Amino acid sequence: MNCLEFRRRVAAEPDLASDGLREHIRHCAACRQFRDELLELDCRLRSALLTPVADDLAARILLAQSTLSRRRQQRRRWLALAASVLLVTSLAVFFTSHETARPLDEIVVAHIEAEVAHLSERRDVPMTQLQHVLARVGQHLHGDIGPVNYAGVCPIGRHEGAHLVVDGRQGPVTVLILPETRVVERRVIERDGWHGLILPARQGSMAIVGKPGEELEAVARRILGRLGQVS
Amino acid sequence: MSTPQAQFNALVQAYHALLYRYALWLCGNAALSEDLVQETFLRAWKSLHHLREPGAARQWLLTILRREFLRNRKRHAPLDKASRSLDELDGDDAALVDGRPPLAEALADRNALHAALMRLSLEQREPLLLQVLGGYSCEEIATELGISSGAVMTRLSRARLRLRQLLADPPETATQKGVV
Repeated sequence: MNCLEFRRRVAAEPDLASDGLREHIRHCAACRQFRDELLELDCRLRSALLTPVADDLAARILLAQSTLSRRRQQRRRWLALAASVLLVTSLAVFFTSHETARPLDEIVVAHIEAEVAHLSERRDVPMTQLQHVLARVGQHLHGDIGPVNYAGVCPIGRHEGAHLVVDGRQGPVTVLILPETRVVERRVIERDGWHGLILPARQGSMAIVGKPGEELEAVARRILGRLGQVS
Repeated sequence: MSTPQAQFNALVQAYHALLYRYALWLCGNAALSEDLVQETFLRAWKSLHHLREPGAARQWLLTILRREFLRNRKRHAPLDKASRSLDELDGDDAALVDGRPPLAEALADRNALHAALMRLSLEQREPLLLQVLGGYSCEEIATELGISSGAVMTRLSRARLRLRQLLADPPETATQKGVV
């Protein structure tokens, strides 16, 4: 090993010990001095690097960490709370929607059967009274729809709706205006001997039930038109 | 079995001084060093589960600190041009054979040693700190810095020779001679 190689290695790691290095300094006083000098440099450097550290640094680090932990715990608590609220809301929505998930045609037929007496009424409801009933469910007629034998506001399913009985060609026709019950498409009611339709409206829906052979769709479209509810 | 909090407390007690000194000699600013150490420990706390071996703690923390330092440096400080220009003076084999006056007197002056250390370029100072302060081997430094062991040895060698040169021939004198 020559002096250059020795010094390269020693300058990188002064305390390195190997047979080759030991052998070299045994015969080379200049390199021995070079190595001793670098060992001294490292020793002094190690000592010089040990600068004082603020007494409270560790305490400040722990304080910052405990503050961070508390914030994270609070955030976790909020997340847990939010998750609980979401769960409760989801369950509530699930159970309430389950209740309304009862088929609309079943609700309509059940309501008509519960108030079947209205089918035989012949009150000839005045227009002002009819408008009053409709106003209670947020509706307004913009024209005549012919004789109305009954008009009332009833709870139909989970919401209120207007219950009308009008004259049809085959007999009384029940019209249920359901502003808060949305349907996506036209449905046919064929249930327990009842024949009818459920039609989507601009606001909610309309159910119409009459005797077989009745032109229900035409009646419904006429009323929806007068209500400004053709979807 | 210790809790994470107990483990963290032990880490802080064992290593905060080492990290502070390492940061201080990297950036040369006491306030920034304390911030770097705090940030290092907060990051360590967040990922304490990554530390499986207690024996790896020192290296793990120094790595986090180094990354913090580099992030901070990238954000705030442009390259140290003075250090760069000094760095360009290195790499001369002549320094290995050049006879220098004894360093004993200069080494006794702690402030001179501090000043000389801070005049090293970061590329030279960092491996030297990892070796002298962190107790890293050349291979460990190479892993930490992502360079070869040979490159580490070159940097260490140049760092010591440059330090020796700066101590034997302080910058004031060197400036007068037109070296710097």
